[in-house]
Amino acid sequence: MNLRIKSMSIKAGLASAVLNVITLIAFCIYGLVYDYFDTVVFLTFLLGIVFNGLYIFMNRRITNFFNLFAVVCLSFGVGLFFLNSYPVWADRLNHITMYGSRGTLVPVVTIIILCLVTIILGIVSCFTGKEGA
Amino acid sequence: MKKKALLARGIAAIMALLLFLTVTASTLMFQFAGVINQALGVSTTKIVMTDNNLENNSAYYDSEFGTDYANKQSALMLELAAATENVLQAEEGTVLMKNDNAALPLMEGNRITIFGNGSFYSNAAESTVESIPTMTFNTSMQKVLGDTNVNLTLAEKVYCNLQKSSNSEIVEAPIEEVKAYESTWKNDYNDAAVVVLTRVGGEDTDTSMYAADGTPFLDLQPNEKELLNYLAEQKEAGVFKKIILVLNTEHMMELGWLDDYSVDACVLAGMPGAVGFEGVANVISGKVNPSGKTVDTYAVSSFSAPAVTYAVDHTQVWGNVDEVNANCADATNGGREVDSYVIYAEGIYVGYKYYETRYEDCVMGTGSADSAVGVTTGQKWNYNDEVVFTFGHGLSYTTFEQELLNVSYNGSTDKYEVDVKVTNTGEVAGKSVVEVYAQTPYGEYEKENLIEKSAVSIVGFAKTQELEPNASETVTVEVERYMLASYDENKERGYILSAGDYYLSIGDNAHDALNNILSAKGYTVSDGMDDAGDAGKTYGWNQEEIDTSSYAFSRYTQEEVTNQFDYADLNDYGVEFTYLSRSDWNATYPEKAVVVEATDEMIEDLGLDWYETPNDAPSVSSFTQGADNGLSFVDMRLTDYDDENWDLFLDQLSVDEMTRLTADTFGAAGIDNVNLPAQVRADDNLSAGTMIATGQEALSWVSEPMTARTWNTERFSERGRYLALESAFCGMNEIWYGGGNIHRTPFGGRNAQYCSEDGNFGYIVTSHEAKAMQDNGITYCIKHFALNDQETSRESLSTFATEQAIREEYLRVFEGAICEGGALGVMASFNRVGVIYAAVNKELLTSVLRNEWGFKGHVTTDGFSSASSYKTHFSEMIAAGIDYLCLDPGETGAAVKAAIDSGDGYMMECLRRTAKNNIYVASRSTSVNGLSSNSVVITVVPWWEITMLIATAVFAAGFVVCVVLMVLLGRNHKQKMEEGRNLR
Repeated sequence: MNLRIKSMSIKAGLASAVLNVITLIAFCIYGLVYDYFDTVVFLTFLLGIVFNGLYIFMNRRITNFFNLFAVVCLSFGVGLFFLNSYPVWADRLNHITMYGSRGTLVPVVTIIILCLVTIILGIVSCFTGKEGA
Repeated sequence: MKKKALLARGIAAIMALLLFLTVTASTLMFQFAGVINQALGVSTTKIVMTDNNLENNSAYYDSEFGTDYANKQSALMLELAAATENVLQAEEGTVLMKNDNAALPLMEGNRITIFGNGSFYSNAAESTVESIPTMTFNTSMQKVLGDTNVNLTLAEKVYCNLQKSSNSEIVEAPIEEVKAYESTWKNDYNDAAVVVLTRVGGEDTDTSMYAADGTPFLDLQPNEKELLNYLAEQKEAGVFKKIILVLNTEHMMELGWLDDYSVDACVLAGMPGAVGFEGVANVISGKVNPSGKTVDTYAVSSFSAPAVTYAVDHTQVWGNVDEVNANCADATNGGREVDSYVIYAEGIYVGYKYYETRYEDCVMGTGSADSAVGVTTGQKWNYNDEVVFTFGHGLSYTTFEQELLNVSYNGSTDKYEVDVKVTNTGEVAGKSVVEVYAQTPYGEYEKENLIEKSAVSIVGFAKTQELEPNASETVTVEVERYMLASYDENKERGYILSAGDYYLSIGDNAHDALNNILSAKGYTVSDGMDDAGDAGKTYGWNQEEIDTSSYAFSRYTQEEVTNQFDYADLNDYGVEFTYLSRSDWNATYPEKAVVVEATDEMIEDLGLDWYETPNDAPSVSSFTQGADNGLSFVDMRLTDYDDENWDLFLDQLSVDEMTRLTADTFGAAGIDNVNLPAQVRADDNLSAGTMIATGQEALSWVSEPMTARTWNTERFSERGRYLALESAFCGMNEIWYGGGNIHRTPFGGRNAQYCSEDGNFGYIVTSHEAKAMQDNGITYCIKHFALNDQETSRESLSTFATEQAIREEYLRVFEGAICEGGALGVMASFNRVGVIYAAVNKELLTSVLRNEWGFKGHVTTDGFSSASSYKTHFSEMIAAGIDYLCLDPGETGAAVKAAIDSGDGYMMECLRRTAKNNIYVASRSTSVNGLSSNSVVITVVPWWEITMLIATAVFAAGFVVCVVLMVLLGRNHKQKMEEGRNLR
C-alpha cells in the first residue's frame, strides 16, 4: 500500500472512488425500489470502485492504468443506466404513461449526475500522475 | 509516468466517455430514427430512374398542390388552404347553445369586454406555420369587431400573470383583481361581457372528476362563480347589456347554472386549433349564421350518467389485488398493468341514450323510470332536472321549418331514404341540419333476452346548403337498415331486427325527435311529456315477425356473425353482475361501484400466454423465401388482396426482410430487393407532422368533435383530405388517427380526438374522413381498438361490457371507418377487452376485424415498450392479428425469427401475413408515387446516422490510439528511468 495523498491523481481518484461508492449505493437503492436493478450496471459501477481502489492503494506498474479502466467501466455503466432509464425519461418528458416507467426522474438524474462527476474526477486523475505529489 | 503518457491516459479517458455517450445516443436515436428523419426531412430510401430518357409521371396520388413535397410554395399554399378550411370548420362547428332575446349576434360597432383566464390562455394550439398567425379568441374578436371595440385590459393586466388551467386545476383571477379594472368597462366597452371558460384534458390525463374541494370539477369553480356573480350584478346594475358565455372545451361542463347568472347566450367553441377561433368569432359577430349541433349531452350534473359509476376516478382495483399480483407474471411496474378494471355497467345507455330512454319510460310509466335512483335533484327522476342541452341541439339566427315528405326503403342499397323539405322561415340566410333518429321495438322478447333499446338513436343526417330567407331545399337522408338492428347476445347470438313498431323521426335534437315519436305513439303532455311533439315528423311501420336472418351473416364477407366477446361480460367468469336495463331502472342502475375479486380463470387469462404452435401448423420448409419471381412493389399497386400473385411476391422476401416490417420507428425501413420505399407514420388527427419543405409543424386542426359538430359530411371529407395532403407534404404515408373511441363520459382525456358520445354518429363521420384520406394515398390508421374510452389506468385496464354494447357502441365507429370508409390501418389499444389485452385479442383483431368486416389493412399495437411486460407477448400478438408493433425497434422480429428458427411454421405463416398486410397497405399509399417499371428503390443512410457512426469510430479509434501511446510512452519512460539508474 502506498497512499501518496498529496498527489493530485490520488486525490481525484480517491474522490472519484468515494463518489463511485455513493453512486453504487444510490443505484442499488433505486434499482431495488423501482425494480430497475441491472446486474451489468451494478458490475460496472463495482468494477469502477475496484479499479479506482487498486489504483489508489497499490503501487505496481500495472495499476497505473486502473484509473482509466475505472473511467471506462463507469462510462459504459452510465450509458447503460441511461438506456435502461429511458422509459422514465420518455414518460415523464411526454407527461404520459406508455413506456413502462417506474418512479420519477429525480433519482435517475441524481444517479447520472453522480456518475458524470465521478467520471470527470476519474479523468482528472488520469491526466495527473501519482508521482506528482 | 511521463507527462506525455499521462496526457495519453487522460485523453483516452475522455475518449472512453465520449465513445459510450455516443453509443448511448446512437442507440436511442436509431430506435427513433423515424422521428429524427421526419424532423430533418430525410428519407431512408430514394427512387432512382433506370432510364433517364423516360419521364417519371407516376404520381398515382396527386392533388392541386402537386407531389413535389419539397416545394416550399406548394407547401405554404396547402397550409393556407388548410387554414381556410379550419376557419370554415369552426364556423360550422360552433354551436349556439342558448340565445335569449337574440343576444347574439353582436351588432356592428358593439364594444365589449372579455373576461376569463380562458380568453388569454385559450385552449387551442399555436400556429406553427410561419405565415399563418395563431388566432386566439382575443385576436379573433378584435379582427371581427375591430381592435378598438374589444377591451382586453384584463388579459393585459391580470390574466397574463396567471398560469394556464390544467386538467385538475382551474386558474381564474380572484374577483378583486378583476374589479380593480372596473373603470375600463363602467362607462364603455359594456355592450356585452364575454366570458371564456375552459376545461382541459389530454393523452393520459383525463379531466378530473373532482375539484380539490371535492366538488364536481366540471361545475363552476369558486373564482368562476365569483366572476359570473359579479357580472350578473353589473348587468343588473345596467352596466353590461348582456352576458355571453363561450365554452372553450371538449369536456361537457355542467351548465344548469346559466340562468342563475343571467347568461344571455352560450356558445360552444370547443377546441378550435390554431386558427379556428376566427370562425367562432365570425359566428358571435353574426358574420356567419351558426349551424353547428352538439354531439354530446350537457347534463346538469356530470355525475348523473350511469357510465360515471365505473370511469376515470371511479376506476376499480381488484378486491384480491395481492393475489392477482402474486399470480400474474405481468404484474410488473408496481402491478399497475394488471390491477385495474372498469365495468361498462350502463350497457348501451351512454349519453343521450340514457337520458332520452329514461324520459320515454317516465312518460310511458314503465321500468320504474321515475324512481329516485340516479336522481340529481328532487325525489323523482325528471328529464328537465337532469339535462341542459341534449345531443343534436343547436340554435340559429334564423328559423327553419322541416317537413317530412317521404320515407322509402331501397332494397338494392338496404337503406331507407328520408326526404325532408327544409324552409328558411326567418330573416337571415343559414344552413339547417336534418337529423334522423330511429326507435326500434322493445317488447317481451327483448326483455326476456336482455336486449336493450335506446328510445332514440341517431341513424342519419344531412345539412342543407345556405338557404336565403323563404328559400327551400329538399334533402334526402340515407339511413342504413343495419342501424336498426340490435345485437342479441343471449338467444340468437347475432343481429336481429325486432318484431314490433319502428319509427324514424326528424327533430331539432334527440329530445325533440323522441317527443315526435311519443306523439306518434299517442302520448301527450298530460302523460308527462315536456312538449307535445309533432307526429307528422315521424314515419312508422310494423314488423310482424322477428328477423334473425338479415344480418346473421356479415354484410361484407358473408362470415357468420356470432358472439366473440362473451368473456368481456363478468357473468361469463361466474361473477354475477347486472347491467343497466330499461326493464327496471330502479333495480339495475349502477348506483355504486362493485368491488370484484378476480377469479382463478381471470387471473390465468390476465397472463395472456395462450399461444401454442397449432398441431396442423405447416412446416417452415414448406414456404419458399428469397425467390426471384420478378415482381416489384409497384406491380402490386393494383393487385387484389386475394390475388395469388401476393404469394409469389412474398416468396421473394427473406425472413429478415419480413421481420423488419414488424418493427416501427415512426415508420418502417424499405426493402431494396422488391423496390419497397421506407414508410413514415406519425400521430395524429389534430396535426400531421413536420413539413418537408418548411421544416415547420403542420397546422394544428380544430378538434375532431368540432368537425363532427358541423354535421356536414363535406366537412368530414375535407378534414380527411387536407390531413392526407398535409401528411404527404410531411413525407408520411400513414396517420395514427385519433379517432374511434367515444365520449363515454365528459371526462375522457382524449375527447378532443374522438367524434362524439354516439357510435352511429362516429360511424358516419369516420366513414367520410377515412375514404377521403385513403383516396389521397394516406393510410387512415384508426385508434384505439377498442373500448379505450378513458385515459385513467389506460395501460392494461380490464374493461368489461356486454357484447351488445361492444358491437352497437364501441366497435361502431371503427366499423364505419373500415367497412364504409375503406380505412387500411387499425391501432389496437393499451387496455384489455375483458381481461384480454387488445393486442393479443384474436376475437377482436381477426374474428371481427378481418373475418366479419373484411379488413385488408394492417394492425399495429399502441406504443410498445419492453419495460411493460404485458406488451411483450410477441407470439400471441402476431398470432392474434398484429402486423407491426408501434415503436418497436425490432424485438418482435427477433422473437418471431427465433420461433421460426426453432421450427414454428405457424409463426412463419403469420409472418408472411404480416408482410403481406404491411406491403398491401403501402401499395395503396403515396409510397407508390414516383415508382414505375423504370425505377428502383435504393436505401440511403441518413447523414445523421453516418455522423453518429463516424463519431463512434473516431472516439473508439482515439481511445485505442491513446491507450497504445500510453503503454508505449509509459514503457519508454520506465526504460529511461532504469537506464538512468544504471548509469548512476
